[in-house]
Amino acid sequence: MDAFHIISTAPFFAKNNGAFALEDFDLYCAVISALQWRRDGSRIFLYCDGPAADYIRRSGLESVWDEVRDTVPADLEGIDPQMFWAAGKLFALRQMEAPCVMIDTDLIVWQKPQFGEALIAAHREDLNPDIYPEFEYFRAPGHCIPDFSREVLPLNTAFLYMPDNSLKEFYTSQAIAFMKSAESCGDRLKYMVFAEQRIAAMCAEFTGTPVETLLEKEFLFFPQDKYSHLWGAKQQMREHPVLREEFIWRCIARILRDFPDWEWTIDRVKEAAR
Amino acid sequence: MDCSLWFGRCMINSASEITEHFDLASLRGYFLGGKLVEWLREHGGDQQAKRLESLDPSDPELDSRLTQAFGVETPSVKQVFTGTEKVRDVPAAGSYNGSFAVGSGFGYQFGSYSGSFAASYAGSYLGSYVGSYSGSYTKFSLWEWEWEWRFGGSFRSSHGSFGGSFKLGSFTAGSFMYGSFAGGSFPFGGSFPGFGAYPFGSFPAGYGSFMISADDYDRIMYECLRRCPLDCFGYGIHII
Repeated sequence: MDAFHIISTAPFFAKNNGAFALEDFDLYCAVISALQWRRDGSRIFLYCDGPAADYIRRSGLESVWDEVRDTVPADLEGIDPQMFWAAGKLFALRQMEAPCVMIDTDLIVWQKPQFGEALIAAHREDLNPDIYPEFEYFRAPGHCIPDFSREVLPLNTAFLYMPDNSLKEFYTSQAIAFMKSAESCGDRLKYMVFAEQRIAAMCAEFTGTPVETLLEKEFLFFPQDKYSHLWGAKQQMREHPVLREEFIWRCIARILRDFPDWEWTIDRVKEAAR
Repeated sequence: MDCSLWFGRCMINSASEITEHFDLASLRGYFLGGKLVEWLREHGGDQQAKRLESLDPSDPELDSRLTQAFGVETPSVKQVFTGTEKVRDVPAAGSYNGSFAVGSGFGYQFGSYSGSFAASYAGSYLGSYVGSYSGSYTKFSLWEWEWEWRFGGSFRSSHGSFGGSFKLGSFTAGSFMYGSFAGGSFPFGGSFPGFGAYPFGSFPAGYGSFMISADDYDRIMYECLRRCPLDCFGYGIHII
């Protein structure tokens, strides 16, 4: 099964002037995620924009992925990169042929699920009104959406298996159309998760596509040995150097143990990361 | 483009079917999504593709121009994105635990009890808000879970921002010691009744298929988080 990672620099450059670089824990995790996916011969691509591709190539890490494709528009086709910081994922998914798996760089799949007709997401999210408000909360003058269900639970798309091109096209079009139509505002959360997570679930329901998840939302933190997702741990590592250091050592140990041929990536990551 | 398009709840495979199953919301979505022109060219819609090519996506009259391109009258559409609904303020992106860097998801759902302990948990958002949900749970007034209490209050004080809050009295680099816990009812390293059958790594996937008690749930969480402090903020991180 083909998969892909995404690195879009637009949100970074909307806030920073300096050179783009990923944080060390993020880059280590991305490397392990890619190597682990390739372990059984599956392919994984890196979709990114020009600056991200330059960064990865300069770092000497491009061979971690089967191919680096710098086709994500750096300007996100006019979409506000601060409001829609994950828009790059939708553009990458639009370009990738289904069936395919979109994986966040902070998620590692140790054991792949069975791929079939159903869409597979990481897990469901609760419809908390503070995060997933009613449609009427959003301002997108003139924009309309199909007769979507308001009840369907959003899907966390840190992992997203798209079974067919028709659903993929429908989802990416609806999400991108919403992002392009939304009025700019300071919101950094509700608009993004509506476009990315809620529309994914609504499109699946609308098209009658069955949905499976890697994990049940109520049991995300239960013991399991199939998936690692850094998620909010990234913020913890930024704030707690001890946690960060421990994590880095763990990543290095994992590369040495499971991917000895890729030992050289350890130094490259150290040099390239911020 | 090897795909069909969804108009209404119908799947269409040729340009001519668009007028038959016309749906402005779908058409607008596909157009703004950026691939409609290409699809039309490959599915017998050269003329419409040519008309669409000249359209400006930011044109306020886009809807009527789209319908004109297909020779259809502009239907009246219910506007939903009006901005009239208000919600409570939630923290800006920076203060969320969830993922605001490249390619990550969002949110913190620790799954809370709803009162019955038969694997029926109502999701909650412990940790997602700055204090707004503290104390709102029905079952536990001070701490949501036993493991939360076990963690020496670090969660309680950080019901939301979490930032700077992961302070365990005895946490040292690379290790996670609970020496400061008064043993009593929860002896560290002891056996966990009801949990022994499900050792780490082999916990059955079908959680919904058996009953677990609140105590079991707490203990499983505790045991899991004991292994890796970062597992409180993501999942499966201990596996790395």
